[in-house]
Amino acid sequence: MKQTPDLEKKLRNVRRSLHREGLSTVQAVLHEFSVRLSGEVGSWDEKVRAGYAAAGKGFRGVLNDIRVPGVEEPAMSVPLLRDKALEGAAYDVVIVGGGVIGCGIARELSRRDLKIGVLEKEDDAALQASGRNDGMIHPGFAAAPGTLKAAYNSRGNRMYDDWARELDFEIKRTGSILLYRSLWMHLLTPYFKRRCRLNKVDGPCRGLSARQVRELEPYVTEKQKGGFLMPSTAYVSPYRVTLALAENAADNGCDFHFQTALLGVELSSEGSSITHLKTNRGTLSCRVLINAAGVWSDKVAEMAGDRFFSIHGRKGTDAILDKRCEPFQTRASGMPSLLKRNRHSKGGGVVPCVEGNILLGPTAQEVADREDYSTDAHIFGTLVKQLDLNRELHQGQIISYYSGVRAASWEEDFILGPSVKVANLLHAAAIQSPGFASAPAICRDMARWCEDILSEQNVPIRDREGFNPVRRGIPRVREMSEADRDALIRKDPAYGDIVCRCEEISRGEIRDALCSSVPAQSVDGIKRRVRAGAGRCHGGFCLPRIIAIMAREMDIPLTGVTKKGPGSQILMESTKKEAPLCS
Amino acid sequence: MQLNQEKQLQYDVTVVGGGPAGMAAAIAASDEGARVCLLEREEKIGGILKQCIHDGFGVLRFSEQLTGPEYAWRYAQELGRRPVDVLTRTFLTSIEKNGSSRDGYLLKIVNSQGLSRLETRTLVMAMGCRERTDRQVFIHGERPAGIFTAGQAQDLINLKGYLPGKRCVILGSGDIGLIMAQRLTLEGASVEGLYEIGSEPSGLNRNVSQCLEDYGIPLHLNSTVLEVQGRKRVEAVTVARMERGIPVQDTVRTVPCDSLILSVGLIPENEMLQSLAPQMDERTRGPRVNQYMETSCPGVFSCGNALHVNDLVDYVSQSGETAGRAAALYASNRSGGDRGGEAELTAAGNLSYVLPQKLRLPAEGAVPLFFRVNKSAPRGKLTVTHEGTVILEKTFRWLKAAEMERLDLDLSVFSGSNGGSVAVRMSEEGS
Amino acid sequence: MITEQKNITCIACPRGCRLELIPGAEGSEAQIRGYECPKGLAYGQREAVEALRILTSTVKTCSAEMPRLPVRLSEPVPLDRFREFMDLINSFLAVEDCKPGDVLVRDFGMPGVNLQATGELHYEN
Repeated sequence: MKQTPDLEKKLRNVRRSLHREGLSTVQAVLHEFSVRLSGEVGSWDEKVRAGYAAAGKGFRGVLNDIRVPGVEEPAMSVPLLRDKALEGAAYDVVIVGGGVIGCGIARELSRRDLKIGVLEKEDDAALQASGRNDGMIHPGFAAAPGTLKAAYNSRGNRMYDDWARELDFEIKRTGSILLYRSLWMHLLTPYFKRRCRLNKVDGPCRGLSARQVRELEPYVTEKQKGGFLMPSTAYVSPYRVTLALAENAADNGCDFHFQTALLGVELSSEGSSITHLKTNRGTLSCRVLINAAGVWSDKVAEMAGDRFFSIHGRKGTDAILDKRCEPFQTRASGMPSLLKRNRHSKGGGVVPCVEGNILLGPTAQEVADREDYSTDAHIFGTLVKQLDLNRELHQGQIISYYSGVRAASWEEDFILGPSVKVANLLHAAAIQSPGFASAPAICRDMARWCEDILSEQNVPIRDREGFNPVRRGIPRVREMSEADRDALIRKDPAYGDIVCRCEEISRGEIRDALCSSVPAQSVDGIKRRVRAGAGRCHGGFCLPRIIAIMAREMDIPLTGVTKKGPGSQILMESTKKEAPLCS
Repeated sequence: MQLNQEKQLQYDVTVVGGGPAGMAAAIAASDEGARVCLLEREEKIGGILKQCIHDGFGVLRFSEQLTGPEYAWRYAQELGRRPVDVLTRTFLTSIEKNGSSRDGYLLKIVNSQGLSRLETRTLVMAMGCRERTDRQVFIHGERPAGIFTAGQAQDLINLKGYLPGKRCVILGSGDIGLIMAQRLTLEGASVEGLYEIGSEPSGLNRNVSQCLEDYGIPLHLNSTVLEVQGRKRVEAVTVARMERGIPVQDTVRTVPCDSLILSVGLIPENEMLQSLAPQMDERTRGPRVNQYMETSCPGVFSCGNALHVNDLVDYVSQSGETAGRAAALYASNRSGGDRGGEAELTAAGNLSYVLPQKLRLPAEGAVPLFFRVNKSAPRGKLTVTHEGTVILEKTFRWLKAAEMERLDLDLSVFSGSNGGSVAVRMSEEGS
Repeated sequence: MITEQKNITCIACPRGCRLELIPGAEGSEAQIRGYECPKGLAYGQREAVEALRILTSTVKTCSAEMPRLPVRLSEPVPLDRFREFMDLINSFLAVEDCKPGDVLVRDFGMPGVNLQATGELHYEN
């Protein structure tokens, strides 16, 4: 391909930046309209620096193919399941990825009379980034004005109340505070206000004196000198939102295929459109493919013949504090990160959960393994420093901690919309914070673009008959009024049989989780749906009973019950195998 | 028993929890003539004893070596002979004060018949304790299947009849951990080793001897599990010897296994009690009580492992009895709780805590003082002083942090006094 | 009588001395080292002759609600025969109602040793 002088100039810019970073061993070449980095560097950190050095130079994307000797980049894990269940299936739309974006697009498209399939390689929805974040619906302040993140965040935030009403999930809109560590930071208030205006953040956003901060958050540490309040920040349970979307989509006719990984894409002879999708469960066809594959969205794009960006995993760890801490913090508070080296994370802080727990975090750590959900002592040490933000919180209140991996592109912005290269391919890629907050707006636009592509293919876009946007969740028995709870138990005694003592979850709720339209398949699936086992004893008491309930409801042996899908069997075998069987 | 929304349930004494402490409390309260209700969230009473099929229970109470189910059964039989309303599969959802302080408490309970209210003059909180989890001892790595608390493993093997692992590593040398090492071995699993971060086992010698040494299971002291490996199911654990809280570099090893079983401490369950905001003891993690097991909330008593973690079930039953009897007397205004004053007990020297934390005075008879030392010592002198005057001295031998000690304090030494401060000090002294 | 050296923790008192049991020559009495008191010596000697323990376990039942019944042996039995006893226990099936103390099998694996229920089993008719 002949390179235009303009692209040559951009390329020189990239090389100059790499040189400045001391990364002269890295080669930068043009790949279609993207820049591709290759060569070898000494550490993962250098690879990361190279990726960022190439970003923001006006290319369509950055492909970072630099090798780091000694550091393995594990490929996507693929389900063990092999069958032909999907062989020959034909869909109007196939969505790859059962996270909040995939499920949200499916639900949005299910308003139309289309045949929609969602492929998810894990055994449940929301198992990767969508289930592993703090559930904060950001106000839209953090992203630089002019980015997609800035455009979608405040719009998405605004749409959450409708989602919550229709889909029956809890939302707590208590706002958030950026804390000022020193008095001079009050000078930033006008700058913060201006950014809120530019990003269309719902207000009124305002500066707070130290006393005002204390009035709002009496337990926030004395050291702060004021803050900046953004009232539109809200909190949801991220996996419950995702599951609610999935259930509503399923109720309206979408097919969810779990343990189903996209393994290859067949393109038309000229390479301009997708014809077939190869999976571990057979080959199917689709009219439109939507890439909502999270940390693997670059690989899906590559399979579909449209390789123009790379994803790098950025791990975040959060600590979960006991519910007894609920009164100590009603809105997230954190320090604004003003240093350039911290520009890709919001600095973390103390975040209240809709369930009543408090979270600390998240941290940010570049990782080579995009499915590495481990926690480590070092990261944990930096995390617990956030405890300093609130004088009532201490390490003994931590009941658990978890990690998630953000799907970041080197440009650090969402990649949204139709592929410029493949006619029936759409990307919703590089979705990370504030991806969850932006989801409602992203899903709406993605569905519209998808309908446009289908229309071009002369597929009629008609409303689905009987579409019901309303989904009723599993009753949250503990939160019901006394009279309602009593009446419900009288109708169905299973709601009066408490299984999980810490979270007060009944057998009825667990049973419902096992027979919803996107049913729980594992102990963790139950925990995500109804919180059984999510309390302070972490299933110490209820796990044996939950296993027994699952075996009965699912009609499987006890040894067939898993913690998190195939391969995670909980019980190894029955004792006393020598004993005769009962007749 | 059929519950009815219209008919409010009314009792003198409501015991929360049907384990050894709660059963003893209900029996004692009933024997004092109180109308008693026992709330139990599980299907059967007996508490954790139901799954403790090993023997060694009841040496002090029955002068016999009973198994857990046998011990529980004896108490259940006794309870069955008394007019106590036992509500099983019944869950207490909230406690509120009912009017002024002498009017007692209003409980909301839920079971498969519905939600009901229950009025009670007094409460005996006997909810036992829960186990610390892997997250609470800051084990890192992934979160695969195969990580169990010892109590979970015990339930799965002894009650459900399933092995939670075939190749196990145990972390923590608490008694249940030691006992599970034996049970797993006898049921056909292999136990690769038991790791204890302390310099001595935290369970009883007898269990170290009969659960580990008898089966040749290695005990690694000053060592811990740092990380779990495996994404779906445990594949290995990383272990290391620790020095001053830091892993010793060349001792870090990987031990292949399919499960990690934790016996890393017990936490008294007092979340429900704490809704009444009683004074708590930071060391025991239970409420502060006087010799009648009465908390700082009027008419609320605490006993068993909810009060402090005991080594012997016999003491659990004993505290339940004391609490149950005192609750019954309180309910019938016979406790004389308004008279006199209270002396505060403080633990000093090599003592982690002393229980009770308060003494109501004047009173007669003897009060058993329970205490634990911070660190094991071959010899120690316990001195009890009241307002600076020594009222009791005793020398103890072979003090172990793992073992609770007991000493009876004759209250006649307080002759006439209504309060003041009592210091209980364990000093190390030569022979 | 032991045939090879054994190191055990003394449980005669909370002190927990480490005892060494050293086999004597030609069936003569074992030598005990490491004890600090007569009780410790006696314990070591007993352990050297024969380590006896109470075995507790569970047996299979036909009840779905209670798939295992806890059991014990009525008398202490030699530790080195636990495996055999476990095999016997593992092949037993509790088909009748019982309560703690009920003898399930007399002379179970050894004369004078009974298999006893320690829990209550009640089949719905």
